[in-house]
Amino acid sequence: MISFAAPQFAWALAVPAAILALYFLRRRYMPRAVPSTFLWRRAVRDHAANRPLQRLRRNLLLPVQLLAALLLVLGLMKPMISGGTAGRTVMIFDLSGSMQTVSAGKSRLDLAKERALETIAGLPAEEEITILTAEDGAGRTALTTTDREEARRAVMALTCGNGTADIDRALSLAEAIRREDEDTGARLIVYSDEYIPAAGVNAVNVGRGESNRAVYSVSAEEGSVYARAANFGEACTLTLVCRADGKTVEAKETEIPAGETAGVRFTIPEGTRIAEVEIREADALAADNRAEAPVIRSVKRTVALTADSLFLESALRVRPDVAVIRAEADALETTAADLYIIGESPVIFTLHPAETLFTWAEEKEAEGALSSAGENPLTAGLTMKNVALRTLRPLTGGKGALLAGEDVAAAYADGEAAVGFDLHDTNLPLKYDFPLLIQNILDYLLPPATEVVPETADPMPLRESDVRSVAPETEAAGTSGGRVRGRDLTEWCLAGFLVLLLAEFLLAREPWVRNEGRGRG
Amino acid sequence: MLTDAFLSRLDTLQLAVRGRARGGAGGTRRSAQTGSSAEFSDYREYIPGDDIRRIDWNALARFDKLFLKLFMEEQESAVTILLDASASMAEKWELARQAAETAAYLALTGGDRLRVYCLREDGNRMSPVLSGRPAYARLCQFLDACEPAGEGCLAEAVRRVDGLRKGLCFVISDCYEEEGIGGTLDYLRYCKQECGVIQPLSAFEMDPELDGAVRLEDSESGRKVEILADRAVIRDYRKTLERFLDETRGECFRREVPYMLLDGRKNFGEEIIPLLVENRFV
Repeated sequence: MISFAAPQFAWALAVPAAILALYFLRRRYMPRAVPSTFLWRRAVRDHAANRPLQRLRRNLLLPVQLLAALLLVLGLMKPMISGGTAGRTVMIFDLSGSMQTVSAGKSRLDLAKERALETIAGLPAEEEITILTAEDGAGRTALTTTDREEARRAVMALTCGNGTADIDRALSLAEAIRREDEDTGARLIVYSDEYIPAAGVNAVNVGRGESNRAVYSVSAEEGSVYARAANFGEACTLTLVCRADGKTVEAKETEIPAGETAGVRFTIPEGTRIAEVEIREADALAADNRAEAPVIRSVKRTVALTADSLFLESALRVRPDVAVIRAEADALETTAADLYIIGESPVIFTLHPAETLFTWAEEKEAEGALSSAGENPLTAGLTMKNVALRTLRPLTGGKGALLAGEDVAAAYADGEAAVGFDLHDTNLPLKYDFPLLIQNILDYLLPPATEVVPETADPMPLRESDVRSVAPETEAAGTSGGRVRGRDLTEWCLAGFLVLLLAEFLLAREPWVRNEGRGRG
Repeated sequence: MLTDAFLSRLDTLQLAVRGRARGGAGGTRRSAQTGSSAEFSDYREYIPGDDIRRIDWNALARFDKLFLKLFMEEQESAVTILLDASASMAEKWELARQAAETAAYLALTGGDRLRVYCLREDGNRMSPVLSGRPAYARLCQFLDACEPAGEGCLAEAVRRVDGLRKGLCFVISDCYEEEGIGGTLDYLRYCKQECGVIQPLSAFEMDPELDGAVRLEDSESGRKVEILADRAVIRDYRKTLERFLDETRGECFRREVPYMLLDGRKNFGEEIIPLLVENRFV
């Protein structure tokens, strides 16, 4: 049974009808009186005598032209012979967010569905159809059936989300299915807006490079929102609208060249929890025109300091969330703070001022310059170059962080850290390493805290290949393996048309001569 | 009508007749019969009763026998011009008429008796017997009254000609005959005519200039031929024309009939006399 994948081209059957009509319309000949046609008739007679196929050629011209036109029309209608030995067809549908892109009223997924339904219609009756979907990074088998109606319903029910699709994983799954069917040879067809270069796969590419703009990223902190918009089409001017907790607070226009991004900052009221940025202008893919982000607020930390050390205070204030207070050593248990820094030599950094697991020896001369005791959280990023130390109280307990010779000059343990020397006895506070050391200690004991972040919708992940489509709808010629089932006759029709076109050219080369009239001589 | 200058050039020419004229009246052609003209011919022995004024006395003194001098008798010849006046001759009628007038003038100035027939399907038109130079004007008047028309078969028209007298016969025709001109020439030879064929063809017939889709309409038969005139078609026509001319020439040559092609592309006045000489018409 022959079906047509593109029956809408049936209107082109008017062309052979037109050829037939024109054939019977008399060619316009200019009349010319001559003394006698005696010699002309002889010339024609000789001409025909030298070409015995002349009459046959004249009679062949019309059917050749008609046949050529019919083949061309059939080729446009994409005839397919369905039937043959039934096997298995695996259809893989890309359900990534970019398949929502709309063009001429149809999304790419709609186009893919149409092509898939045409293919299903042309399959043999007993063909086993497997439908796989590639979505959210996974390939899933939606359905395996020999019932074409069931397969059609499954295809119609497909919807795509806002995530990505790992086509490769879906192809791997399909290949595994194909390996199970080595006898019949499963045919793989992928419907996607990505370029699928895999061998042995029929790729049906949908989408025609519609223009798309997107809110690429949004980040918010107290008082301000920063958004970046991307333009995947031609240069344009976009209007970005910022909303704070659902209320529009600001709109800004920005020009974005083709293929570029642009950043925009908005001001939001204090106390805003969720900031949203949306592109006002509609485009082919609406799902990526909006993104939202929670407003990040950091929590203040209090550090109680007993020693009078300007160096230490300055180093502590580098972190904006840290507030330093002075406290008396004997009033620490009643002082509310997140971190306590006690003493001058050693200097104990602790979350719990009541006790410490560090012990220290008598003060002694340092037997070498300060150096890092290997990789540890307190010395990350420190160079410890030319750091001199006069005296120290070697520490015991915890893990060594800094060494002076073989003595532990600084150490850390769970919930506390210690520096076993007086900061005035070293040139460390004058080095760049000192504020780094203090920040490392703070990060170790008092990591930065933020408020509980409200949940927001993740922006649709974007890949340029998703929205900048490749070729227009095509079906690549692929090998299906196994026995041939159902055959597309389009190429045969077009090849036949070309052959007949050549034949028509050869036949029509000689002048077409007719004799009329009566009489003799 | 031919110009006086051209006619004066013709005065130096005389139609060539291979056979001996056998006319009735005196003319300027040599007759097979011996007579009393001034031109010596031969001797024979005296027979009692012969005219003694013709005795050659020198021969008597030399041979001591009586001999008579014999002289050529000069007589006129009959010249017939058969002019094809079918419709196909219309385009080259002027050329054919000039050829007819030329042959006629040569005949008239040569002392011959001339008769011209215009051959037409609806009946041949016959001129009166003309002789002498002054009859040229009457000839022209006769030709003025002839117009080519109708479909004509030369062979049939020639057979309708009555009273052909032995003599010269000029056939002036395009010779578009399916069976060729051979039969007509054979018939004329049977009628004791010494023939010459003059075939005028127009410039279009010699070198047609056509392009595109053309419907050729035969002016004589009305038949139509539709062609797509391109170089191949024109080339084929030229080959056919050459073959046709060769056939006509061959028919004449086999019968020892002088043949002359008048090319309408050329100037008649410059062409005709060399052709007359070259083809042994004069």
